Amino acid sequence: MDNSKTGSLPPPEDQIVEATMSPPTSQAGMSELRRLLFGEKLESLKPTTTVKAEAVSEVLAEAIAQSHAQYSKKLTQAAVPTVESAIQTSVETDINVLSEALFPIIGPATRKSVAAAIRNLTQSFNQGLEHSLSPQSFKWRWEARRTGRSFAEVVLLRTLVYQVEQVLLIHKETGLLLQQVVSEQAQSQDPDLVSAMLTAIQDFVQDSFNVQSGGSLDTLEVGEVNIWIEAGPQAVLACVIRGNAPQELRGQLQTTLEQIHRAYASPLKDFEGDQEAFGSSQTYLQDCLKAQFKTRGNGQKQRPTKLLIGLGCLTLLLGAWLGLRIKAGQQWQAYINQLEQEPGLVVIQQKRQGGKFKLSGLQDPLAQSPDALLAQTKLKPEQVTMRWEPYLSLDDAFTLKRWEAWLEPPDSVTLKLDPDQVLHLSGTAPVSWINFSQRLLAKGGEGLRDWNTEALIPQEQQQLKALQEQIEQRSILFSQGSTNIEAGQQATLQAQGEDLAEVMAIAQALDLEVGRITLAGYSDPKGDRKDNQDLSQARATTVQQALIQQGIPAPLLQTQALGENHQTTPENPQNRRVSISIELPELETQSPTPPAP
Amino acid sequence: MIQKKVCMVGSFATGKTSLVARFVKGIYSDKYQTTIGVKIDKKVVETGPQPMTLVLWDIYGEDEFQNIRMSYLRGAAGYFLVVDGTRRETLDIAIQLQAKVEAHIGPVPFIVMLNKCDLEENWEVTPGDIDDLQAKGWTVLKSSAKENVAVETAFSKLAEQMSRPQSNSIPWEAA
Ligand SMILES: Nc1nc2c(ncn2[C@@H]2O[C@H](COP(=O)(O)OP(=O)(O)OP(=O)(O)O)[C@@H](O)[C@H]2O)c(=O)[nH]1
Ligand SMILES: [Mg+2]
Repeated sequence: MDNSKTGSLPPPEDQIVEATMSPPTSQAGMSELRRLLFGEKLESLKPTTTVKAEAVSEVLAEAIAQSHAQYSKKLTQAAVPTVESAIQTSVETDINVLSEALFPIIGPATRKSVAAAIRNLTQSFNQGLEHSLSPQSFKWRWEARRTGRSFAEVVLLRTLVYQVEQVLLIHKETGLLLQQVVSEQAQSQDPDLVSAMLTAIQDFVQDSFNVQSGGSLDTLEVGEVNIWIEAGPQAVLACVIRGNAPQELRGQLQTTLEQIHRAYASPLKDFEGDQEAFGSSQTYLQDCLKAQFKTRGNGQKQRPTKLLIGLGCLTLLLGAWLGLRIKAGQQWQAYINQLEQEPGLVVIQQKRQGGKFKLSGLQDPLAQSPDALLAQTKLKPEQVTMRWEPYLSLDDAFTLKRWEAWLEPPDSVTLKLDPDQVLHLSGTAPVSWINFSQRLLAKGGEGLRDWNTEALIPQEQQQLKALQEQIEQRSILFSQGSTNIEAGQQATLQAQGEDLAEVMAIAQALDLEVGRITLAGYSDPKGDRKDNQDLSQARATTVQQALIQQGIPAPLLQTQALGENHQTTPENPQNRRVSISIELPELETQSPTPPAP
Repeated sequence: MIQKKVCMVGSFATGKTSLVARFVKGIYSDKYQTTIGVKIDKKVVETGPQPMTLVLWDIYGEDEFQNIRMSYLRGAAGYFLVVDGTRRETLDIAIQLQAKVEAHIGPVPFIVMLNKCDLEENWEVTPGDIDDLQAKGWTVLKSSAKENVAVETAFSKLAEQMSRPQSNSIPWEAA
């Protein structure tokens, strides 16, 4: 108070005098003592606010950082009132500033919690509905009244049977296991492998289905077992659950994961593969290791008479109502039987909920559509909810279909799968496709023990054969005793040239060489034998020239004079002809290149 | 216990799965069954200053039908680039993959495995190629899953490289 003022200001001259003369009061004595000790230096200790602010501002940031490191709680606590009143002031002055800053956080946060709340609600609602008319429900209603809980709550409590068997804490980036807990009764898989595999599945799903950012796989269902996955920024929590867990467990996972993120913030960030830092997280994980079992026959006896009367009425009502439901139930059962017979469809779970039917199962992409099968029954589609997960059936019919889809064979090719899982390919196909199919099969045959392409005939070979036959059947006819072709034979000559050109083109496309093309000239026996020999030569040469004109390479064209010795029948114009024969190249398909010799 | 994620990367049929099978289970088969997706195995390496668990991600090989998904490499502390010595093109693909992986997960230790050295007389990869790789400062090993050559060595070498502090990942320390 006054004391502090005197402490820092030098007392006026008269005061000093006074002080020396009268016996010093304690206050005046202090001042005197100070003056004697510090003398003029006192002046410099005067708190000039400007100087101090400057000095403090220089070290303020560092000071806060240090104090945070050493006494984090204290500083935070000290700051709370200031921060609170700062926020209050900010809101009072201009509410827009804060609300704009918070906007990007509040949106997703509310969406998430609303979605979770709705999910919880629907689940308990469904359960409530399902049990609202069962005989047990009477007891539960009674219990609800007695305990002041809602009926839905009691149903949930009494029907859920589940056990969390294993909880894994996984480092998100590397997929490495940080810690795990296993319930006593459960047999667990190697958690290191499970963590990595779950991470790989997550990656796969995220990549393959192009999920929007932030979305991730959160449930895996494998028969009885559910895996619930909760992903945080640095770590992932995965729970292996047997049975039906309530949605609240999801909330527990979220809380636990948040706690772990808070408690292990820096070990998570700097994780280099050392699990040791996470040893103590066991206690957190233990919170998720929950189980709930159906309680049978415990609890006090209900008043029997009241209960019996109630049950009696209820049974009557139920009887009438069940009559209506039985019919639908039979149709449903028939439908399930049909699905079970169908290759590529596996029914995993099916149940009736209220007036509705629910079904989940596995469907090979190539199987009959369950919807189409449903349409053939009397059941109404809106009565039925189905969920089908894709899987690959190893049924032979599907292996074959799948290979058909992969190989896309042309219509002329037949695929057959024999009982030993050997795939036989037969028919004609372009060489390029044959090579492709052999390469694909050589990569390892899914569902196949072996494969055989020996019966595949290259389509090009057939084309060449057909052209050869066509060319060799034609003759170009000549006028009697002349090297002029007969009227109307020009078209035949033209056709021979075109077919030969096509042979060349096919061969070239396959990188093959056409063998010899022989032009054989003939003449009839009229006139001198030697002249006829020359005439047949001249006819062959005429055709040779014409074909060269049409673009057939000269070196391939050989002439042959067969004179008058090769008569067909006497007086046949065919005796004055030139016919063509070709040697075809042997066509081989390239054998598949094996991956390793 | 220290754990590290290690990936097997390379073209198809270079022997990634065979190397892992040899290392983890000590077995080898001539039968080729292509890997679909990812296969995970683990093994503890005891050779270093402290034992280390390697969690091995055996990823399907790159071929003309599909590229390797880089997301499978996230968080890997090291990887093997597996090359089939008898097929030159698998080396080119490995070099391209190395650049891709490094761009994706940063400079972590890796070892080039020139596999199938039991068939060295049929190799298309030449000593010159190997010199080129070494000139880049890469660790190159000739291996054979079939005859168990250099398999143990490779894994313990990578484990050792991974246990060193990663100075090259701190930019201001790079010379
Ligand atoms: N001679 C020889 N063959 C090998 C060696 N390693 C693998 N192979 C063979 O090469 C083929 C391919 O081996 P995999 O290990 O399946 O190859 P991969 O790299 O896993 O192939 P993808 O999973 O398709 O990418 C198989 O037939 C193996 O038997 C080796 O060291 N020597
Ligand atoms: Mg493989």
